Amino acid sequence: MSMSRAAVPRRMRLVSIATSARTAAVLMALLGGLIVLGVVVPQRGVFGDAAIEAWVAASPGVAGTVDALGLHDVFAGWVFLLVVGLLGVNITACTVQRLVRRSRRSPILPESPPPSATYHTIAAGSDVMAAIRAAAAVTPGVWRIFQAKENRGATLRRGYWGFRGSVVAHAALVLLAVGALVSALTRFNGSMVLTTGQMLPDAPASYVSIDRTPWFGRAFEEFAVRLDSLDFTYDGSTVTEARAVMTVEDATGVRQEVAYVNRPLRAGGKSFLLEDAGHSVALQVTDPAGEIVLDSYINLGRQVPAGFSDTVDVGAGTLEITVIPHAAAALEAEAVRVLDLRDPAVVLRSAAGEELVLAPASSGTLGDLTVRVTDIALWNRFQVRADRGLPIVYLAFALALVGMAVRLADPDMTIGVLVSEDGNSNVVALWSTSKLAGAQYDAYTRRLLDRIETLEGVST
Amino acid sequence: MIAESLTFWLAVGGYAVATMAALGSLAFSREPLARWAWSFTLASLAVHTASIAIRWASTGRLPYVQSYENVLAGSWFIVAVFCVMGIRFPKLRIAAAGVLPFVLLTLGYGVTLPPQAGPVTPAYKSAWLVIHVAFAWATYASYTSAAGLGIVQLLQGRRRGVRPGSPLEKLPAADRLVQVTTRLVGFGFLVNGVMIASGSVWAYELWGSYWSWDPVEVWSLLTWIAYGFYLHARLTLGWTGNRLAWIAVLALFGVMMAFWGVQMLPSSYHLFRDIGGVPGMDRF
Repeated sequence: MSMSRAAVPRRMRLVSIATSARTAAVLMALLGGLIVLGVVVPQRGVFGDAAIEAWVAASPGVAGTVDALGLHDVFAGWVFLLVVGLLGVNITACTVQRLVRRSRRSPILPESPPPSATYHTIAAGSDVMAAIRAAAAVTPGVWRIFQAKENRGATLRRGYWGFRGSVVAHAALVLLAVGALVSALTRFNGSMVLTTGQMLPDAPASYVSIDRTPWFGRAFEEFAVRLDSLDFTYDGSTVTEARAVMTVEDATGVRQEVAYVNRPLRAGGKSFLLEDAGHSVALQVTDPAGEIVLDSYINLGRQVPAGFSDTVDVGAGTLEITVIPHAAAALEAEAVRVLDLRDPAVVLRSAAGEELVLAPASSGTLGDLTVRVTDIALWNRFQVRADRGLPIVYLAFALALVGMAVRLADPDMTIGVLVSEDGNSNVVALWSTSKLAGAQYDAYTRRLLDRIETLEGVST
Repeated sequence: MIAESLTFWLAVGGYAVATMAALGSLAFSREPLARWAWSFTLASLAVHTASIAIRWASTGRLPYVQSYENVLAGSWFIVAVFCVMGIRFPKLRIAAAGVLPFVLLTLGYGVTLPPQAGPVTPAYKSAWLVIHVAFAWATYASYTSAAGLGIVQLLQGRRRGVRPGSPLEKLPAADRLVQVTTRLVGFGFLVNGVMIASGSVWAYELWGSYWSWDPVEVWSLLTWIAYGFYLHARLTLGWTGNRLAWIAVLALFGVMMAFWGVQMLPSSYHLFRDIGGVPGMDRF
């Protein structure tokens, strides 16, 4: 008796939709479509506001529509999150349903072979079931045998581990989405500039910019970092290695570590990634009244052919400061190695155009100002990142890969065997109920039958 | 440099001849041309290998840094996977007609790139990058061979049938083709996962973010989803025949976009010409 569509409880229909592979296919297609949109339309999160504004100016015709639909932020939009969420629910529901179904139900052998069966004749009186069991034991793969009543046949199934691998892989994808959500809610993005010898605590004032703070949990921890030294290795004019020796002070004590590009310093749950570097000059400027108007390290942020340069306010005027890392005699040959401080000099230029060249630990006058250079050092900008979702994401990646590998190594295969007597011989009918029916099934059944025929006890 | 250049051009020439022979065997139904195509492919692969070995010896490192090196090694992987498949399944060698045009396109892009080797910048010095790039090559090679099989499967399944003398006559049945294609896609899907995972780890160590929705990442994800769809269509929904072949062929578009298409973008984390740099920001 079949129930009408209306009679099927709504809850059951929802479960049916949620656990449908077709729903998964539709959601995957939707996700693919949204991703294509995210590739075709420039995304704010990738290219930045300025690039988006330029695109809008260059494409006024479509810009309004794109803006209205929020297509500049596809991957942060509610539609994308909804599809990912629904796919997560679908994957979970499908996986749980198949897990329950597979653990409860043993395959049912039909009364007669299906039309796709192939027939093989072997000697009468053979103990076919014993041969099937023995053959399954030596045929590649872990076969489980579900014997039918009255010894009339059996269902052989392999893919026990492959199925579990599939479950793990799908669960890992859901875990991946959870990890991404945790990342989004707990991420810290900041930028910190340290001059060699400088130590800064993990506090808001130590950062030159903070783009993201966690929605949950603490943003700052009890520790401090110092940049002890920066070393660069060159090949011609190209930096081939950047090495920062750093000290971390936290509740556990003081430790020194070396950070490289691709190997950040880890401290207090944060990663300090080397980003870029430049020259820093310790300057003391005194005005005509003898008052010190500037006494600090100035990080020069603009790279120029001779070194690094920047402008600083000193009382009523400004000073343009340029650090030249090498002596003038070696400048032409060595200037390309801008971060190698060998025999450096500081060029100071006032707004009036007066110029003064000073070596470290020397002083001079520029207009009515007395300027002393106490030190020339290096600064480094660090991207500081924290992400509590990272371990979840890495675990999910590992589980997904292991699950997929197991799934592919142990494919699902079900073979039905029905035995019937035909005069002086037994007729063995073999068929597959697997989705992999075809050449692969043929190869397995042929191998299985070869085994059955060559095993002792088949012919009596 | 001369030896490397010579072997590179010999390989390109060999692949071009093999491509013409493979396509000619299909167009004119001349099976001997298919055998020539196979022979030229093997010979060109040997010369191609020599070119990579010379490059490796001269730079002292694996060719994984510059665009030219990615083209050189990536196309080698495509041909190598195809040749392994051709040795294991000789009847499938005519898939060269589908695979070799992609190899030629890839090498053709390489011709436009400066081959001079430069120093390796700090951003490239990561074991994760080597894993990421190697698995990317393996991924693209598997998918390209799968697409090649998809193309010959579609040709085999044409309504007007196969002409006598065509190498398509020797092709195994469609379900055998689907089986090999599924294995290639399965392998590609797995190594694609390793590529994405290792790339994410490297990205976090370098840029502080394991995923940035960069165009290459997005195309890579899209490709992964497309081939994941293929596997589910085959293994869960039981699809077979031409519609499965079409997925194998069309999904390769995502691979080509991830590998080469984004090189035309003005800004991306993955531009091989300035990889390691956050767009608009100085880096070591």
